Amino acid sequence: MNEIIMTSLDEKIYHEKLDSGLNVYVYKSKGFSKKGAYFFTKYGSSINDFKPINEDKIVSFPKGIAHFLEHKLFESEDNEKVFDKFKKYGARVNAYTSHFVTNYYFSTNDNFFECLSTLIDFVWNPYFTDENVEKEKGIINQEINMTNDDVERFMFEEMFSLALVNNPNKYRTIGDKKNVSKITKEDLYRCYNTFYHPSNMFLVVYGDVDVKKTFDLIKEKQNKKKFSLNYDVKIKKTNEPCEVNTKYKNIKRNVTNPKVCICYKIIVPSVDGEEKFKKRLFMNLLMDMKFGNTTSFEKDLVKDKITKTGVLFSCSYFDNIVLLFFQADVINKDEFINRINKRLTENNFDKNIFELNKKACLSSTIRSFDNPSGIANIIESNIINYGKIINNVYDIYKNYEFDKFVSEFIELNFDNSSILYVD
Amino acid sequence: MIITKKLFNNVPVTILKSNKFKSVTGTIYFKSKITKKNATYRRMLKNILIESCYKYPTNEKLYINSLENYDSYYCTSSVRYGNYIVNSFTFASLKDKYTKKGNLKNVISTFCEMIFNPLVKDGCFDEETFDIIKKAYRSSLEKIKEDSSAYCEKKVFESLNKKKSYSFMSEIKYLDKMSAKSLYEDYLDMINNSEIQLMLSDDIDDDLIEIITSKVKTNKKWEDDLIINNDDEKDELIIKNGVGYGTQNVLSIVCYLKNLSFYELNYVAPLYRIILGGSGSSRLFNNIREKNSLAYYVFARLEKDDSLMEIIMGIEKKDYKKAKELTFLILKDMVKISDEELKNAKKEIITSLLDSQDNMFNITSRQYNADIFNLPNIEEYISNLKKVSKDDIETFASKIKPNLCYFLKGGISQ
Repeated sequence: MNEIIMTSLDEKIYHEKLDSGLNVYVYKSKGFSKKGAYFFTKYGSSINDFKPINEDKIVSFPKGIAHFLEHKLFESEDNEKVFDKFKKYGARVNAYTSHFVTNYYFSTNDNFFECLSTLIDFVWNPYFTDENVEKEKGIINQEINMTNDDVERFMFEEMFSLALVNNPNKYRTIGDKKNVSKITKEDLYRCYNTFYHPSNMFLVVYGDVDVKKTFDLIKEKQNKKKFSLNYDVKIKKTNEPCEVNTKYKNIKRNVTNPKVCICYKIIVPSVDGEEKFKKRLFMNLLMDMKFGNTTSFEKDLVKDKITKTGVLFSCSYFDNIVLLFFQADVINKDEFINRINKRLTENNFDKNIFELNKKACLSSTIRSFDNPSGIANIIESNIINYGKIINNVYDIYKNYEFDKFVSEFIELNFDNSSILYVD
Repeated sequence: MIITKKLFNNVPVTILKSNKFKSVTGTIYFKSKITKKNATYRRMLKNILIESCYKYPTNEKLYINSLENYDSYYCTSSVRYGNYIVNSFTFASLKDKYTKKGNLKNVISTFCEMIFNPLVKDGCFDEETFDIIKKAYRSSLEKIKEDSSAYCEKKVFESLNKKKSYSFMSEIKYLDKMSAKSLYEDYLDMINNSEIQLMLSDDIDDDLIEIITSKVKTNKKWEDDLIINNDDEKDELIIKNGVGYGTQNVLSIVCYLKNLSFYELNYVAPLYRIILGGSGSSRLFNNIREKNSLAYYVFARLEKDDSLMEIIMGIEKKDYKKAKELTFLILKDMVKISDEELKNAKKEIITSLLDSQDNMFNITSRQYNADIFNLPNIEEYISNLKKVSKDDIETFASKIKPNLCYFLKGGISQ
């Protein structure tokens, strides 16, 4: 077991890579009563074309299968529902699937080790039957209806398919009813056996727990299971062009106000680890400085009768692709697009605002330790995005210079964008 | 955690001291009787007061000040509690040892500016700010149709007794009549005619508490019942339906909670809710979702202040009859519960209560809830909760009957 020291923050995270290949991270938060664990597999909705373990050809699986698998892992052979197993310990259990990971997690105040043991047991003991797979399709169709009804979420997800050409992140995490209807028990086992191997997984524990006992329990659980020694998975690689898939799309929906979403597709150099973290820091600062609350940009749009509400903006990152999203209820669609474009491309930054935003990043880093489960999320994000825990975040923020920021901005190309109009 | 209660300038101040956080938060609450009109006004007030103030006349200036104060955080809310409406204002900041000496004082000063020194000229809120906030608020009220669950909830409350406070919601007709002047008059009413309380998540210096409490000129004591009484409601089942704007169909079943004791409402009802439709192993979840695949989400909600229990689920149109009948059957069967169900429900509530103590915002809001519902501290509450028996739940269950069944059908073909 080694200690990852979070420099300048007086905090540490315990880490060990176990014999099975499983990486375990423990953040001990003294004085907090809530304890929990996140059990991740690096398998999310963007992985649909791959060579299943012990097979020799790349196979295409139905879209949404990672999310379907997440639902079905809550079945157990002993007929006791996973939710019931945790309930008797007074714990809560749940899971989610993103583009990159599936996470199974619990939180509790008591019976922590029993819960941890139960978490590992249910994730590592799948039980799929034809009957329970068919039953789930009705539930997932309801979930699809629910997510479709959220227009803003629908637009955000639709933008991926407009902006991306070959990248598998263009598909919705949940899939669609047609793909979901094709999923079989056999498909689920092939996906499970391929991606739920400890070498492809990691476990993050938080709370005021006995660190040694935690590692001992996880090792004991690992030693009771047999995993194949040669873990080799081949995922289909794609090449993504700079250009967007679709420049403009209009969808008719029963909305109160017309809505526009613009997505800029930017190709950035491929970097890893700390350098990648710095690139994202730059992008986040850029968006905050141009569109955040230190500017009157949003208010001016309302005042000038261009939008009805404020602007939702966000960034998504896929390897060397950055997608910048801007969404609003609009009165004047074309002028909204013009204003966003003008604001985004103008090279005009206030050094004082830059320094204040840096200060906010530093404060937010310290504050994040007030929420131990949030630290578990940060660990996950670090492992998935940067391949390791960035332990010098505070110093990176502190040493980031305004001139460097401006020079990075000059390198960006905002020529490729998709527009979705919903009315 | 150590809880201390003090009185500063006639304002009750509760200090909830724990040593685990690097930040500190405080919330001031303004509680007033709800009316049809102020249900809309107070929500507009929360939006305008967080936007700017006299000292920082634009949102940009206010936000820059919060960045200067090491990313201090401010938020507001306006929530109806039974027959009252409570507007709350919250600040949060890193402690001075992580920033610089005097930072917390600066944060509190800005907090007070926002609440007590708004951007007002000639007895009106600043017209330009008012117009922008009003437009955005109007748009959000119009957009409620796009959220099937929220729209269904609105329709459900509209279907209940219109004289009771649960039907007092934000309405466009009141917003359209609102002016910068009438809103300022309502602001003065909130400041001068509210029952005011301050909750702090840590022990901060008395002189900092004084900065806040010294701004309070009057502190009114409201005597009327907080909890809406449904004892006079008829024992009948009303079936209604409507058409929504999305693809989703939402079924909502409402039960009046009648003739309940304090003990039943505060200890028995929460446990009943957990067993009926609490989490992923409740009776509703197991029967509606797991056994019959009728819904992705299904849960029960206890609106203690409204004396209502609600069951909500997202279903397919074709499953309406089956889901409704099954739910009625589940309600009927609640008169018999197992020891295991009761034991697990108690554990679930206790876990949730203890979890809330790990979040400084939840610590203060939980304490406020405890105060307005006259509940004891967490330890005593848990001790009382543990005493609830199977008989208590089964007796309670025999009083619960569906009174409204509202089905919001999706307006778009799937």
